[in-house]
Amino acid sequence: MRILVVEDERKLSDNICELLHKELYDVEQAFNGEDALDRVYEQHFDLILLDIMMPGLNGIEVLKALREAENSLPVLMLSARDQVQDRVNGLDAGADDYLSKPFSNAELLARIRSLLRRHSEVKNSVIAYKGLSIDEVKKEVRLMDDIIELTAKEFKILELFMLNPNVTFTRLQLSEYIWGDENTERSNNAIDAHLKNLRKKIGETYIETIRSVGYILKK
Amino acid sequence: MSELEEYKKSLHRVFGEFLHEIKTPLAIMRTHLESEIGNELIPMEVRQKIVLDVEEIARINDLVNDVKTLIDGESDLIRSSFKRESLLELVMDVVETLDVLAQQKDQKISLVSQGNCEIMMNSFKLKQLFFNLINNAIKYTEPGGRISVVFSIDKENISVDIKDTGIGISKEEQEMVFEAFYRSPRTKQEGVGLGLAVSLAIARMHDARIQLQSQLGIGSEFKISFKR
Repeated sequence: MRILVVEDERKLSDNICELLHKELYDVEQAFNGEDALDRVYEQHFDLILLDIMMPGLNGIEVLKALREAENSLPVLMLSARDQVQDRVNGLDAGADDYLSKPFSNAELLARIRSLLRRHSEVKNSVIAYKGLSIDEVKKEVRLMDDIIELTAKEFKILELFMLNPNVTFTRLQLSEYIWGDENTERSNNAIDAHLKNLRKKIGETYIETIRSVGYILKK
Repeated sequence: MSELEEYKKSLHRVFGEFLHEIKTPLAIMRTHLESEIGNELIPMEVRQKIVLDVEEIARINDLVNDVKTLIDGESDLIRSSFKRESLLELVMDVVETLDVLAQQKDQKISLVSQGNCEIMMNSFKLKQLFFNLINNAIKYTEPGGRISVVFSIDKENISVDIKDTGIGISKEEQEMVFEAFYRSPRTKQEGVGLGLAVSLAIARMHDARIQLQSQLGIGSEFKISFKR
């Protein structure tokens, strides 16, 4: 999978690329909008991470140019700007998803995975692991063939762990994931409570606690 | 434009840019630190400290976002992001999110609605308003207490009433609680005292009013009314 990272802030771009490298993605960097468009027209990519605020052509303009050229490459927008207005502009211009800075690595990876999944040719909506399976389309969870009833938030949490095995999620990351990264009211307690309820339903073995760090699903 | 207004406007712009510029270094620090949280080669005590540091970074970022909301409340710019969406569904989503906290304290949240209604809103901001108010109701109500959320529509208004059986707010404090950075000497909760100020700013963006009725020891009622 090839990802183009378009971000003028060099340090941030390097950090993102290092992270994606570790996850075995092929990464290319572009530091401005014009360069980004050139690369997209010349090479194959599976996804673009596109910063909005850039000198010259900004992210929204790059995106508009792409969509006008009927290029439907999945685009994940990044921005530190007044998030709300940018989110609306970005999505209106044809972005597939949006992430505001500062974002967490886990959130970035989760969004990339789910975007790539959504756009992949082979659509398999079921993820299974040791007798536990979830169907992302039907929103159904089964444990050894028995259907387990989860609340919407519990499902969202379990889906995140199943899509990202062996990734440690902190409680902060989990709250941002289920309540949105713009909500400045958060609660570690609520996350612990969600996890406790989830474990009551699917058993204790799937999601492990790493004390004072977070949670992980080990494969 | 008078000199004073011009000065205010430029100060506003500089402050806005400043808040924006803070976010990039925060993002860089956070990606750096977070990439080490799952690293099993690092001693556990260090990983635990990194988690705490990332939470502090998130706290600065929250503060920046809240102050930004306070300034944006003064401008009309935010209205261009409004979309027509269901208010009841938004409130239901927040209640579902927070119900798990209420359960922990053995509290019951009830949601009653008469009809459904769409309004022009910025759903990200409005969610934060209801999150603040309902979360406060849970925080400031003893275990076993009750919280009710009533959604009602009349000829002129759509209102959401959030009522708790909590510790209440004295008459003298009722004005002050909406001021930015005000912290009640009675509160044992963490925070910097921006929640209600931000909620009020978000209400104003939506042309809505927040009315507070409260009695010490009996409970509080926050009524948010939107024009139809």
